[in-house]
Amino acid sequence: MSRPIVRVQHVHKYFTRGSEQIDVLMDLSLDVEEGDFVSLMGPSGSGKTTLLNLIAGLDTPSEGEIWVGDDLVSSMTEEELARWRTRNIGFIFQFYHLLPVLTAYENVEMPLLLLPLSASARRRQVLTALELVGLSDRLWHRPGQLSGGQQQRVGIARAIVTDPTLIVADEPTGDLDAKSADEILRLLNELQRSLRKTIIMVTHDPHAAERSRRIVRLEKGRLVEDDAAFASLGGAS
Amino acid sequence: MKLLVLIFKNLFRNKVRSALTAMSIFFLVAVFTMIMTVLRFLESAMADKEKDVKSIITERYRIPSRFDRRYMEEIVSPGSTVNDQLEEIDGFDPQLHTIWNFVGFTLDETMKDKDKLFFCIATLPEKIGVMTDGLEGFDPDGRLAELMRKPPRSGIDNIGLLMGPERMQKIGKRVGDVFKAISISHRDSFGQPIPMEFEIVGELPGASRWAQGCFMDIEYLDRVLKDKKSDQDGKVNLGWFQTATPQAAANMAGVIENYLNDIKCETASSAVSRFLEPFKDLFWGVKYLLVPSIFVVMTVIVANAISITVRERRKEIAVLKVLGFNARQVLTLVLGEGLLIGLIAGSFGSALTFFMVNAAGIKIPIGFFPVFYVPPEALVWGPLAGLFTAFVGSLFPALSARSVKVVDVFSKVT
Repeated sequence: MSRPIVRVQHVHKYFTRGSEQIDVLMDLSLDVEEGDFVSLMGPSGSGKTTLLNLIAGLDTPSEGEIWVGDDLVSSMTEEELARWRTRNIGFIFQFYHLLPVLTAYENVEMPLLLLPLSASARRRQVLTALELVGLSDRLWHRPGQLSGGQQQRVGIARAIVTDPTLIVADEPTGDLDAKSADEILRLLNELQRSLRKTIIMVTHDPHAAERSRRIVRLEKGRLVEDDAAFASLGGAS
Repeated sequence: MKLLVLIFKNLFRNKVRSALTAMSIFFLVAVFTMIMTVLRFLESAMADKEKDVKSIITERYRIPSRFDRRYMEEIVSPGSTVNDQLEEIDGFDPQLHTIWNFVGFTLDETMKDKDKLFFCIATLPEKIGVMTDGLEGFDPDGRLAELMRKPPRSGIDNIGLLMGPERMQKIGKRVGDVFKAISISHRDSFGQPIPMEFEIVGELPGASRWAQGCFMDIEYLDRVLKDKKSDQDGKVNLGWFQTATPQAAANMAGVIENYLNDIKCETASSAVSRFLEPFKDLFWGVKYLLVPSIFVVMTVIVANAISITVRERRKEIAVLKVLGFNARQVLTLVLGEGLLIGLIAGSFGSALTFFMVNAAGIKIPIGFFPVFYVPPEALVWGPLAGLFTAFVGSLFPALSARSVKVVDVFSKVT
């Protein structure tokens, strides 16, 4: 087995509304191995997206630690997290969230603008990423000129263009028809297999979850099922 | 650089809003430029000079001023009591003087067509390029002054006119034209308008406030008024002197007012200040109420537009933060959009005003000032005004964008 790339240790996350404390995650621990493809499942309000946000460094836990690689994400400042995310996290959104004024090429290039890369290196990486998602012929199309599936592929290219440690996806197929969803999931599988990318995906869709190697179920902020053996039964193969 | 491109592209996200915001700033900057042009000109006209100080002689008791020309002769003629006293003042030169008579003319005998009117300053031709503000160095060799005295075409002494190009265009004349005009300000002994004949012998500089001006030889006016036995014969409206220093001007005024009780001598800046005194509150209001109000309105317009933009793009800002953009970069993005609108609209606002007034001939006439030329500095005021208001207006929306929390924007607990 590979070493864990993500270590969530006794994480507790709560929000306060007035004097009321709302517990979203309670004493949750989870390890994700390098190169794994994990689906986070559970009913609404179970804390899947909150956990994903914590792992991606978009939020910090109220208690507990989160490590990604050798970085203790849970103790970073907002400024440090922003820098860290650029290099280490690729985020895929349910609604793609591409910048409408930019072309597919420019959208994918966005995260690279924050890195000390030459224009030619940027260009090389963008073209590679777009080629990997099969959109080499749509470089100069704006999001409005692309289908939902194509937009999501641009979103995936944007997520992988910096060659991040971890790809997180929040219901990446939630806004797509069955055919497009299937293509996106196949693409994620391909990325995980060929590039050895670690992927954590939040999904409600059992069919989508079946494409991953491991399914983790949450309920009321607690981990209730970790189907780590799923891979051995044929998941994500 | 890429961030700049993104800022620029963002301007086109909501073209109508960007255009309306830019138009508002553009219009207000144009108004601001015109106001500043007038205020700057009046302030400089009212400011005392350190050297080559112009003093103005007027009648003490009547407005408009009209006094006996012999007063001027007493001041400048060697041997007179006043001149003897003035000659002792260091910085006084009797040669540096001139006289002005304002004469109105029409080319329309029925005197109904306003477009046929023109006003003329009857003066000493050789002093036009010496004693006239804005015409310093004009006619250095005295050739035009000589032509005013001896016009080549008509051959009639002293009927030469110097006229600004805009005035010539308005009345449909050009250099070399000989024509008749009727005086509407000066009448003969029967109270009838006096017909006179003129020949345009030269053109005043176009890019100056004399573009609509006109000068005639005062000797011709004197001759006609004498012939017609006009009661305005021997009268002048203004006298001008130039002294080397303010002290010399003050001493000269002291001597003149001491010996010649009917006339008044003061520096030109004091005269302008006195003339504008009744409008002082108005100018104060324009400078300290209207101009700041323009700035406040511009700021509010920008703040409103950018606030809406930030509200609309909260998700997008959050996405940028997810991608790794830090708070400072988000701030730059939003602030940059406001600044870009301010800069572009401000630049166009002042540049267009500059062009319209200075080149296209759309004037701002106020009182006896026929035109206020927009100074080249205005090309800097406009962009600065646009940038400043855009900065202030965008700052709070930008700070709010900077503090957008990703988890709040994508807040859903699933």
